Amino acid sequence: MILDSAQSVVIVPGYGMAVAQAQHAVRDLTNILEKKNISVRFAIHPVAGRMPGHMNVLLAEAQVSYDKLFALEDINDDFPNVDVALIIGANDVVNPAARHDKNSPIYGMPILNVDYAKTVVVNKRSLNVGYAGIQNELFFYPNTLMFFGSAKEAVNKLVNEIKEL
Amino acid sequence: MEVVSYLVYLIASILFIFGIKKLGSPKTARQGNFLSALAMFLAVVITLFDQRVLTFEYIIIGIVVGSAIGAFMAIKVPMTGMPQMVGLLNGFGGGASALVAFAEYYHILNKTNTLDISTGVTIVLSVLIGAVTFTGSFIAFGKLQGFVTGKVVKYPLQNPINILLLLIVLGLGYYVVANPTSDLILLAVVGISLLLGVLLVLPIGGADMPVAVSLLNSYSGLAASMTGFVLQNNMLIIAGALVGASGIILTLIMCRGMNRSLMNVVLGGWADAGSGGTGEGLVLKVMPNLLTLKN
Amino acid sequence: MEIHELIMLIYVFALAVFVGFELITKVPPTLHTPLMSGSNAISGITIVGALLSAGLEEFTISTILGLVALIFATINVVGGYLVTDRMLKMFKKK
Repeated sequence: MILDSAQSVVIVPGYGMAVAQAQHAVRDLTNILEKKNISVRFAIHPVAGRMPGHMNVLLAEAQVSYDKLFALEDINDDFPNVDVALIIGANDVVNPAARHDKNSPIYGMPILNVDYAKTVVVNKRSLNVGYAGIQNELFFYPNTLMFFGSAKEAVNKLVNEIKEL
Repeated sequence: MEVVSYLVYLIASILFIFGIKKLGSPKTARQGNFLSALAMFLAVVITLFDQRVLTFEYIIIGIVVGSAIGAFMAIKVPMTGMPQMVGLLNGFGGGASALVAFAEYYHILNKTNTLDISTGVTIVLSVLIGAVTFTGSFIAFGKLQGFVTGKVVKYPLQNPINILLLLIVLGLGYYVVANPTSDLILLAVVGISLLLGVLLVLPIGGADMPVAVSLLNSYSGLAASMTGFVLQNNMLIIAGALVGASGIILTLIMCRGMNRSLMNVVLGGWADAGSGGTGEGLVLKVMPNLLTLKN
Repeated sequence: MEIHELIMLIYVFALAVFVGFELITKVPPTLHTPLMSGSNAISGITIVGALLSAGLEEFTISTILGLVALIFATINVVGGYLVTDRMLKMFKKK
């Protein structure tokens, strides 16, 4: 199993996680992975959430230790060493088009370089576009796996699956 | 007594600065917030000894009512609702500054029947910024809470109208400074400023609210600073300036995070940027359930 | 207010803005929300002006404006500090 054999996992939470109230499920996932000696970090984009630092507060409320929360500039160079980037309810902030597609409306926006991770798992409710109104090419990358469903159910399912192993 | 109050205001100003400094690390942040609250407490207590403060019934009413509402909000708000909460608090702060400036206007006028230019200018600016912050924050709150459409709102002549309103406010403000007894004109300044607050925030898209809330945070600080100019109180100026700086920095961080200019966000630019690629013809690897995550 | 008095106040303002910039650029993103609510509470400092108006000896229109301002400012101050503390309590390192 991908997560099970990983050594380093980075979770990228977006506002979709907060809408689905999946913070506690994500915390459970973090704990269970750490029990298996898998390193878990969180990569937080500056505009994740609805105000500066909002995502950090939501994760702190779910008792995620603050030293696991990394800002974009502190984690971005490390994605090539990451086995699994797990994206939960984020979209535009992980769209690689921002790096290379000059015609994209988000061109030039700082993004989290999750596509450099060995495997990218994206949890979303549907393929609907994010705030910028554009499709995300990341979802079609060969190293990307999509997992549709509400963040809370999806993450809980994942936790149960790992427990059963 | 006056010397004592000046000293206490000085101590409070220093505590505010230390408080914000300690907010810079998770280890000391709680202590920092406490220092800042202590500074506020000292400032309030010493003000109660001011020679101007002679009746206490309204003060008691105000503090009891305000504390009850503030505490209720702070305890009840879910963490997901924090942007709305901060939005509302910005609005109350801005509103309070505008009201204080207006009250001070009448107080000075009653006492001396005139208004010098410096005080007049600061009163007008305080009323303007405070009132814009007040309604702007409530629109931001409405957008975050879903009462007001989260969409980008555009209407014809949006910018010319706003600029025209701002010019009218400044013109009326000038009139008040030149003719201090014209309180109806100052009231018109309030009215148009309130309208301006609505019109400035309404076009901003729901997901751009981080920028709007940060900017309004900065305004609420500026409003407090302006009130400090009206009252000639350095502590208010310092505290307000710290908040103003904080809000501006956070605003710029948010804009940089989206690689957009402040103007682009404030004018509601991005959301109609087009649809881009659809991803048609590409292969999407969908996991029907997580068991297939197994290799 | 004389013009030189105004200039002195502008000096204080300019220096305080500078101090604010220096301090706040050092706050890590993790603490940006509490920073915002905490600084928001500080902007409630206008409560001082509200007290001066609400406590005037004679009841005038300034008293009414002062009372409403006092209620608003107190909501800002009490709500801001309490909610900031509530958040900061959650920031723990395991």
